[in-house]
Amino acid sequence: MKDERFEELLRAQPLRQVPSAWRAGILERANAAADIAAPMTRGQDLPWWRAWLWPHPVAWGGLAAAWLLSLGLGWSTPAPGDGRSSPAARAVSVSELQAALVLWHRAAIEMTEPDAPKVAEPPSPTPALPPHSRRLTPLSVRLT
Amino acid sequence: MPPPALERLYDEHAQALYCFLLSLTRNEEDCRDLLQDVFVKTARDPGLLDGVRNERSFLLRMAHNAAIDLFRRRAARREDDRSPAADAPLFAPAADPDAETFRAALHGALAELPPEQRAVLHLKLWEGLTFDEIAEALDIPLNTAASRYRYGLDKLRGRLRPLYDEIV
Repeated sequence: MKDERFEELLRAQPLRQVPSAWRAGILERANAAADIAAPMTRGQDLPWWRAWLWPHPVAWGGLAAAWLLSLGLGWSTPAPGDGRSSPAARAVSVSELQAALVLWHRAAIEMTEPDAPKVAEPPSPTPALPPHSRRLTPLSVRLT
Repeated sequence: MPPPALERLYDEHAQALYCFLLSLTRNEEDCRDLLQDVFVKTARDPGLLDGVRNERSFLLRMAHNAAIDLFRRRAARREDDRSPAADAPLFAPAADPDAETFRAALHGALAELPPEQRAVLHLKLWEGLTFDEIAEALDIPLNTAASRYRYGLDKLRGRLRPLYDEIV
């Protein structure tokens, strides 16, 4: 049996027709699905930032309004027993914060210094290295 | 997707999708559900066909995926693939008794093939797709498409040889 002739014979067999009654029902369901999906896909035509905000614009707007209100209240209302509500006072508080950060940074550096252990360490089986070499070796390894 | 575009898609491709799905499922109800599924998914996503070179291949792929999902769901639920309405005929009825006998035998022989071979045979024989297009539609390598076609055709030939010898 030749392949081509057999394939031709198979191809010649007519297939059934799709039932014509299905068309209306299927298209009706598809159009209904499209109508439902349309509002959900509306954001795709917006600029990226609006598309990002689009799913819940009222919620985002409400959140922004609440934040602004909170900011405004915090700015205008002096805290009880605290005179730091003016811009000048806030500037002072920023400088204080900077000073505190510097102090914290120094303290952190001192805490990482292994030179002066506060408590006696247990005897080590390996010979002790000078403090500077213990400290610098890992750094030199990292640099290389 | 606007209704006119959907109607055009249906009028141009529903027949091919119907036959392909009927060949895969052999069940009229499943075929209708899956065909509807394809058009509902297409309608839900207006940009789905943007940039698609071959609408027919794309929709056939959607139909194939929908059928595979159905088979997997049924396998997971341990359901029988064949409902009472299964084994719906794929071929149009013939007036000539010999032709009718051959079509019935061909229908039975196709039913014995694994679905993956049946899918390739259908797309090659009755959709006229190339192996490249079949590979793309079914998401399989080109060689796999060709070998499935060859195996499937050999099985059909073996099964239909007595009838074929009478006809030719």
